[in-house]
Amino acid sequence: MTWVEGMTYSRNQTKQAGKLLRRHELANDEVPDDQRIWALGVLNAWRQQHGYPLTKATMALRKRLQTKSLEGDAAQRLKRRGTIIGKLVRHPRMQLTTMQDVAGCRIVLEEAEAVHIFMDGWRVRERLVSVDDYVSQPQPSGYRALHWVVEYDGLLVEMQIRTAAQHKWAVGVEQIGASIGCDLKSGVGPEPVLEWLAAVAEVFAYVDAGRRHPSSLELRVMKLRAPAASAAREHRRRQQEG
Amino acid sequence: MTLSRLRHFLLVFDHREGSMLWHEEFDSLNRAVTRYGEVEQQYDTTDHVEVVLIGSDSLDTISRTHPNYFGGAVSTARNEYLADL
Repeated sequence: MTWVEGMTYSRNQTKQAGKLLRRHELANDEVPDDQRIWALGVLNAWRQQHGYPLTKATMALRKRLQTKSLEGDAAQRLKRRGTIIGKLVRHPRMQLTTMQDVAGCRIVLEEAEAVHIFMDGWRVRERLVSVDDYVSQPQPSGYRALHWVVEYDGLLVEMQIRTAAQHKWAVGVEQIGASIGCDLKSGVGPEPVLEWLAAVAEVFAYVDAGRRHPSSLELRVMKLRAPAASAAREHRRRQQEG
Repeated sequence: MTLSRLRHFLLVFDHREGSMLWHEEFDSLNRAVTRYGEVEQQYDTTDHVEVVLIGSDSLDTISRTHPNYFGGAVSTARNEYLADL
């Protein structure tokens, strides 16, 4: 029996490919070219397998939107090969076969109330692998959203459910990360920048809760801003030099 | 009402220029994913170019769900708090 219908490589080969690509990234002279080409082929095949399960998940999000008569934007993406390899490097024990977000889809709803209506009583027929509520328990970076990992056809698909404010924050962080050359979203970068972004995320959470944020938070954001800006400039300068 | 089919967009974004270089559109997901691997390989050693495959009902929706690939639209993602860093 095949482990995943249609996958031409075995589970062990897929794991092996992930290990080779990680090793190549860490010390690129250790992995011969033909092995790297083979491993990239396996990665492509693995990603290709996720296409239809991902589409099913995205359609489920869109269907739910329609059923609940809500306005929102839904989209799906297959993880870029560079970010798949980057993630394998950051998590030395992670396997290519167990990465939960090779396939990901996202829905952006207007506000917290819409998310509540969307989620209330929603059941997926497929196996729900994990539920992460980063709204009640934000990530250290300040990232907030609901994440579901659902198994479609034996493959994992990550669903992100965000409010417009949560989305705006996440997109802003990605953009600042790109401009200073570090992966702030994963908590990698100059500490003052990360600290300031986490405080800004708190302000956005108040927006979602329909409440005005306290003046102590406003003050904290203001105080953190100048050190963040100079740390960002410094980081960018060092990146450019070298 | 039936939902429209998903369309698949391969976006090629240049971080140095801050803009999308080009994009391709596919009805077939399989063809899109195959092409994804080819174009990634083409830019294998070009760090400032990012290739990504996104599916949605339209490119317009993607400009909101993934605004960072649409240089000009990026400013809408910012507000008084995240501006000018």
